[in-house]
Amino acid sequence: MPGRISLAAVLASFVLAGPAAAPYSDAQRSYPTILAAYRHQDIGGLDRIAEMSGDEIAGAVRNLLEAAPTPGSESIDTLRAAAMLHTDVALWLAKQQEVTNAHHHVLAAARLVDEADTRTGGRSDFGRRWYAIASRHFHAAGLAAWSAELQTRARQRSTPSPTEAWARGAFDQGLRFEMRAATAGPLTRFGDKGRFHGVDVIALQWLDSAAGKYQEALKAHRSLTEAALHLGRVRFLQGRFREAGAPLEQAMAAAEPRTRYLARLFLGALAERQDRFAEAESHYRAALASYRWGQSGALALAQVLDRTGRQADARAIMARHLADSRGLVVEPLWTYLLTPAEDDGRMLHELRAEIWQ
Amino acid sequence: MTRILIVLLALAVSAAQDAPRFRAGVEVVRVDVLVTDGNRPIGGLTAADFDLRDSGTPQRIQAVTTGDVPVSMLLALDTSTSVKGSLLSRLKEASNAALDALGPADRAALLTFSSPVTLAADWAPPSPSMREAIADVQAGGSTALFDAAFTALLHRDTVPGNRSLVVLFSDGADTVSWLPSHAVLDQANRTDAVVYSVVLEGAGRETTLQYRSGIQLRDVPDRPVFEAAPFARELAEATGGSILVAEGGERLRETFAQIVTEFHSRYVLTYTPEGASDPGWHPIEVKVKNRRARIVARRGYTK
Repeated sequence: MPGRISLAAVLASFVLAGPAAAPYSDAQRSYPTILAAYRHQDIGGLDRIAEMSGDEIAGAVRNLLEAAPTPGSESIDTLRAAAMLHTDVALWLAKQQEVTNAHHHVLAAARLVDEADTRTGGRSDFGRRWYAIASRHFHAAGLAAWSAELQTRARQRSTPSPTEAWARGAFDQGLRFEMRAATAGPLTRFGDKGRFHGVDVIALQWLDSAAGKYQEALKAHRSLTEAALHLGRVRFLQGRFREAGAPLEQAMAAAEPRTRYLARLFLGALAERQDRFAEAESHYRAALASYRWGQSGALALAQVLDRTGRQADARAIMARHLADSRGLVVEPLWTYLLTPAEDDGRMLHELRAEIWQ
Repeated sequence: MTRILIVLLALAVSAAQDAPRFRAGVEVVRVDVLVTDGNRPIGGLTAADFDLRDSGTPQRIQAVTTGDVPVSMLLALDTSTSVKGSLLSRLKEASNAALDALGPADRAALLTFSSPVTLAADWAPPSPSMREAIADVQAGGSTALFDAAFTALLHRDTVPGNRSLVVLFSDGADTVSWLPSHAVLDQANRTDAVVYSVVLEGAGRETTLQYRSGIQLRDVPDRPVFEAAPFARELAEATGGSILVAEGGERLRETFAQIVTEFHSRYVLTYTPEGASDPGWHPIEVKVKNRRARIVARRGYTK
C-alpha cells in the first residue's frame, strides 16, 4: 500500500530478527499457508492478513476452527498460533490508527484463544497470560477501550474463586518483594556452607518476605505452580537448599512451558551448586526440551559439560543454540520478575515462541 | 579429568625454525607469549632464550613458533543500548580494521551480544559477507558480558593448529548473564585462547540478583557473587592477553588493529610436561634469559 510502512519491517520491533525464509508465490499465499509460515517465524505474509476485511477474517477463522481436529494438542497450538498472528496484525494496525480493521483482528484473536481453552477443558495459563499481555499492549498503543474490553472479557470467561483470587494476590505481593530483593543491592558472598557473608541485609529481608507470601499463596491454592517456582528460587538464593527442591519439583510439572523451563533451570543450578553434576546436566537438558529457544538453558548445559571435561559436547550445544536461535532468543528468565502489566514486548514474544515450530 | 592445550599431533607444527615431529597421542602444552622491551616487541628469540616452568618444574621447550602460525580471531562485541550511535559506528570501523590486519591464512568470526548472544558471522577467512555482517550490526538491550565471554571461549575455530585470539569489547558491566564471572574465568583456564579486552572508561554498574544462576565453583569458595574486580581485566590476565582502555571510543580503530598486529608478534612455546603430570591447576612461569624483558603469558592451565 502506498505510503505505508512495510508490516514486516514494523513487526521487527516486536519480533527479534529471525532467519530469512523461502518466499511464497502469490498463488500459494493463503491463510493456512501464512499461518504455517508464521509458526516458522516467517512474518512475510502478514501484510495480506492485514488487508482482510472483517468478513474475510471471520470466514478464515471459521474455516480454521472447522478444520482443526478435536481433541489434540496440535489443534490447540494451531488455534493459539492463529491468535498470536491476529494479535500481531492488530497491534500493528492499531499503531497505524486503523482502529476498525484492527478491532476485527482483536476479536478474532480472542475467539481463538477462548476456543483453544474450551478444547483443553478449561482456562489455560496461555489464555490468562494472553488476555493480560494483549490488554497491556493495546493500552500502550493508546486504545484504552480495547484494553478494557479484553479485561472485561477475561473476567467473563473465567471468574476465579475467592481463594484463587486471594492466592494470586499473595503471589503478586511476593513478586514485588522478590523484585525489591533483586534491586536492593548485591548479595556479596557465598560461603562454604552456602550461607551469605557480609550480605546486604535489606535484600535478605525482602527475600524472606517474598518467601512468606509465596507460602501463603500455596497454602490457599496448592496448584499455583508459579508460586512454587518462585518459592524454590528464593530458598535457593537464601542458601536454604533443602527447602528449595520440593517447590521447584512441583513447578517442574507445570502445564506452561516457561514455568517448566525455569524450574528445571533452577533445579539444575541447585544440583550444580551441590556438585551433583550429572543431575544438573539432566535438568538443563530437560529445560531445553521444554523451551528450546532459551539461551540460559543452553549456556547452563554447556557450562556444566565444559567443567566436567566434555568440551566438545559443550561446544556442540552452544553451536546448535547459536545456529537455531540466530538472534531469536526467548528467555523467560528475563521476564521472571515482571507482570503482564509491565511487559515491554518480551512476554508477548514468549507467547509467540510457545506456538513456534 | 580436564585437559587443555592437548594437541594430537597428526600435523606438523610449522615454524620459522625446523619443526620436530611428535608422536601421535602425546600431550603437549602451547603457551602464547608476548615479549616486549618497553612497548616494543622483541623478535628473533629461540627456545634457548626462554626459561619455562610448569608448576615450578623447568620444562624443555620443543618448539617456538611466531607469526606464521595462522590466527583464528573471534570478535565479541557489546551491542547493548549504550553502544548506539557514534560509538557503534566506531566499533564497526574498528572491527573492519581488525580484519584488515589479519594475514592471508587467518580466519575470523563475529559474535555480538546485548541480552541475546548472537553469532553474526561464523568462522571463515575475512570476506565481503563478514564485512556485511559487521555493517548490519545493531545495538539495543542489556549486557550479557559473562555469557558472551563464555560463548566466545567455547566457540573456537575447528581448524587444527590455529592460534586462538578473542577480542572482547564492552562499554560497561554485565547486567543480565546467567553465568557468574568466575565460571568464565574457570573455563578460561581450560582453553588456550588469548583474550584481549577492550573497555571504555567509566564505572561499571552493579548487577542485580534476578538473572544470576547462583552456581558456585569449588575452586573459589569465597568468590563474591558480584565482582568487585573488573572482569575484563581478569579474563585478559588469566589468558595471557591484555586489557586496553579506549577513551570514549575515539581510538577504537587503532586499538583493534594494534591488537592483531601485536598478536602476530607473539611467540608460541610448545612443550610436553615433565614432572608436572598431576591433575588440577598448573601455574606457568615464563622468563627470557639474560636480558630484561616484559613477559605476558597465561597464568597457567587446568589439567
